[in-house]
Amino acid sequence: MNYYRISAGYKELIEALLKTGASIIAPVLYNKVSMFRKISSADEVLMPEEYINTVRSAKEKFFPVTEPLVKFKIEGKDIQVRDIEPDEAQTIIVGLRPCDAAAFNTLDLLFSYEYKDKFYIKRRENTTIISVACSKCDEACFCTSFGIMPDSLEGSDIQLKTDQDGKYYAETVTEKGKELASKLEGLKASETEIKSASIYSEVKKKIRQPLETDKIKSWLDNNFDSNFWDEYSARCLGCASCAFLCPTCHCFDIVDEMHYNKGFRRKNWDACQFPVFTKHSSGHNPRDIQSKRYRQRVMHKFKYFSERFNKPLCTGCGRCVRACPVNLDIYEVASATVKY
Amino acid sequence: MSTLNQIVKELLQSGKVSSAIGYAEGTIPGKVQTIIAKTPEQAEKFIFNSFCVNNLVTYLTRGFKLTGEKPVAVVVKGCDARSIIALIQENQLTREQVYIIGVACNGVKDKDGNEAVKCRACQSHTPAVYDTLVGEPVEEKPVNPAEAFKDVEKLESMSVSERWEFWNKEFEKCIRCYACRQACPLCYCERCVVDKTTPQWIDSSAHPVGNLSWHITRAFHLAGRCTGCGECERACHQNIPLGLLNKKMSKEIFKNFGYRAGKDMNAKPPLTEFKIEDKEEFIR
Repeated sequence: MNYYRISAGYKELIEALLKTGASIIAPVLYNKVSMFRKISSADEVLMPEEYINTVRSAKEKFFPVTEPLVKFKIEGKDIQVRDIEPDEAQTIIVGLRPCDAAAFNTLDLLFSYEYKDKFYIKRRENTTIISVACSKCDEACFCTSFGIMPDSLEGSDIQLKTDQDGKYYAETVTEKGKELASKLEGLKASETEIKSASIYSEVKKKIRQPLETDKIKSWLDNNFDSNFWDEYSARCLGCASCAFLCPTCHCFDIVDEMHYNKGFRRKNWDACQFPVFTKHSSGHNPRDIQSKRYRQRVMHKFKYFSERFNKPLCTGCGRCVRACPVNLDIYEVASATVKY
Repeated sequence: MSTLNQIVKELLQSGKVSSAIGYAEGTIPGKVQTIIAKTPEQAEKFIFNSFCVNNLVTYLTRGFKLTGEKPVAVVVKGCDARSIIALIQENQLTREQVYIIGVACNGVKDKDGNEAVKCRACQSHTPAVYDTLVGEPVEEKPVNPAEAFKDVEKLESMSVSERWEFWNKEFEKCIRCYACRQACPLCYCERCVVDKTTPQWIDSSAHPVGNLSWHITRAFHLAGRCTGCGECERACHQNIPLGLLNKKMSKEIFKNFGYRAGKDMNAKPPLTEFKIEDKEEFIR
């Protein structure tokens, strides 16, 4: 069976995870911002009741905001180059929401496409994902547009849910999850299926009405040059709040940084909303105005990625909606396309 | 229909302005949306309430081009009007290019519904410059200077190492999304120094050196120019107190040059002017 009773509460479960010796990553409030960080005690952890979703997604644990790839040193005419290898630490990420867990499956497609990103892949292999089903949502959530539910299992190795008595229990999803659950202190396999609280179907009803993603895609197929883009992107300020907080956005830049005679080649987050993102060395920029850049964002989310990987590049976590300084809401924009 | 809607409608109907920038209802509680209206029918969407914290003047220096012969109308609070004045001083705008729909403001709220930090020592409830004013001018109550700079003084009372630790801990969270820059009406450079690569003046990586260089450089570039509209801090989802950094610079500029940005259209910003009586103790 895939169901485990938890003898004590959430914090005791975190304690049990810490005892496995793996590196434990969980949501914490770090200097006024909720984000995923390595913890050393259960007391640091934000309880699932304390957040709808964290401000920062857990993607940075596999795909960090900046990461050295190669180390180099120049001495006279001699250049020494040394590859950097990903670390091998066993990791457990606990406390993420189903939309964030699902996002890893989306990112996997990209980072193991033609080029295999060894850093990302190694970390994914060494990590076990324990999600927590959502007992509440807010006005920005729209996961159901992409077939994700408050208790979806996609991307999770284990999911924590509450049963009809309001107690946490664990549902294992993958072999990796089963292996971890079987050796965790305070977890006891249940002979029968445990019924989850009805709260998850209640939450589902409160989430924004699902977007008609198929219709949106066909509209996008035919409207690359529509005036829609000028009209709707005019208020975009061109920052990368949306892309950088997004659990599925994955664009990066490669830079060489040298101080005196040594330095690193680094992989840094980048975003299609920046004017320099597509600027050629010739000076030509195919996306020279914000409307073209905003169009790229919507197209990539609802069309390009789906065409290549048969999956939209969005899980409806709502972070971009919450963070946008001018309330340019991608759900609103996507809904508006088909009515235009 | 309120006065604001009426004004916008008439402006667009008469063809006096090419478009009007204002606030509209947002899609989530506590947030308003920018509306850039081109037709009189859109006028009914304009609102003004305590969540209209955004400074819309930023749009005047963005991709939104002030090319036409007609001015662009924009809804501004007292604090936002200071950005317009600063932009005119820096020759980024002419007074004729913008039609100012001033709103008398009694203070706005931050994302958590509390009084916005910038409102605590506000002396600009009514715009200093406008073409038409919505609401009655608000009487300015004297602000206790001790109160106005309390947060800066707290910072100043720290030891150098405490301050170093404070800022490093704040900057550590920076992911270099540049929302601070993009939301800032005075960050209008066509090519920001951080985007220059030959040479790379500032490391683009979000590591301690890169983040520190970025925020220090930005604060220096805004010294004597920042009007304290608070957009950088509001746009920062990482809750980095960027306004505090700028406020400290404003305090220094006021102390040394008696100058406050965005107050007087005819004043010369101190860092663009030379005066024989300027203190130059640092040179000796």
